[in-house]
Amino acid sequence: MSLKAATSVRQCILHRCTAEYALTLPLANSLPETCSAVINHRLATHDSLQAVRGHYRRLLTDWARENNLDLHLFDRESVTSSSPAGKVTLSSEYDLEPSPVASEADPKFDWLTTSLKEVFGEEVIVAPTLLAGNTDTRYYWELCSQIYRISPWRQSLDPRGTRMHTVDERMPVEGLMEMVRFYDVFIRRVDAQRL
Amino acid sequence: MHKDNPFLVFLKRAALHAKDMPDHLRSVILDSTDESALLGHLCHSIDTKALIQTTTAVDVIEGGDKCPSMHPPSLHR
Repeated sequence: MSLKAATSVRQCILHRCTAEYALTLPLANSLPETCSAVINHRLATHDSLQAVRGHYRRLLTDWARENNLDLHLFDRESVTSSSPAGKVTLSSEYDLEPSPVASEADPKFDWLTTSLKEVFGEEVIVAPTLLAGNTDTRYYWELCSQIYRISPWRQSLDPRGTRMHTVDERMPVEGLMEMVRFYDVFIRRVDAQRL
Repeated sequence: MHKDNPFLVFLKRAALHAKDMPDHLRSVILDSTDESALLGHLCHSIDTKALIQTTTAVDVIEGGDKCPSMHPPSLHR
């Protein structure tokens, strides 16, 4: 593929679970210990929050009984013991189901395709793919049925990558200019459709 | 692999147009009768696996209250 300008038609969704594990063993010379972990899930298109929670239930229920631990799962279910040796609590935040699927057969996808070819060359092949793990498009779900995520610049401009969201995040100047050219062409095309 | 997953469209289009794709991979992608062969290929790489399966990343781990306390043995399992 000469250009990695594939638009993303579908996203996986972030779902964060926090697992807390608290022990109150009456050991001499030992203070009550706690530990916690934050687990980040990006849900596959065919998965659901319920499926992920079910996974933890299957994983932990028997284990908690065997180890004489109280288990609290997402404020809904719990396993309790008469004299527990400790407590395991699972909670979740940023819960989000997988997003609706946009169609590449929709005429609006053609607006993207023709704009990309105009800016990057007629030989460019445009294909949709999956964008894993974004959260902000949920605010658009109620606004329109076709939501495409796109970064209209060439990754090959900087083989080191963008280091997105971390230290020394970067964007090549040429890539920035490509994006400006793309949005100029694209906005004019959408405007012409409205007239 | 779920039929709704647009990554499948991407792979098929790549198989039709890419000049540098190995012939074997190209035929695995275009052969819709044997999905397991394609899944096998995709599961080899963590990057492509993340596009067909729910991912799990333990991002933050915290534990313990102070230095001289003993960790109960069950924590070491």
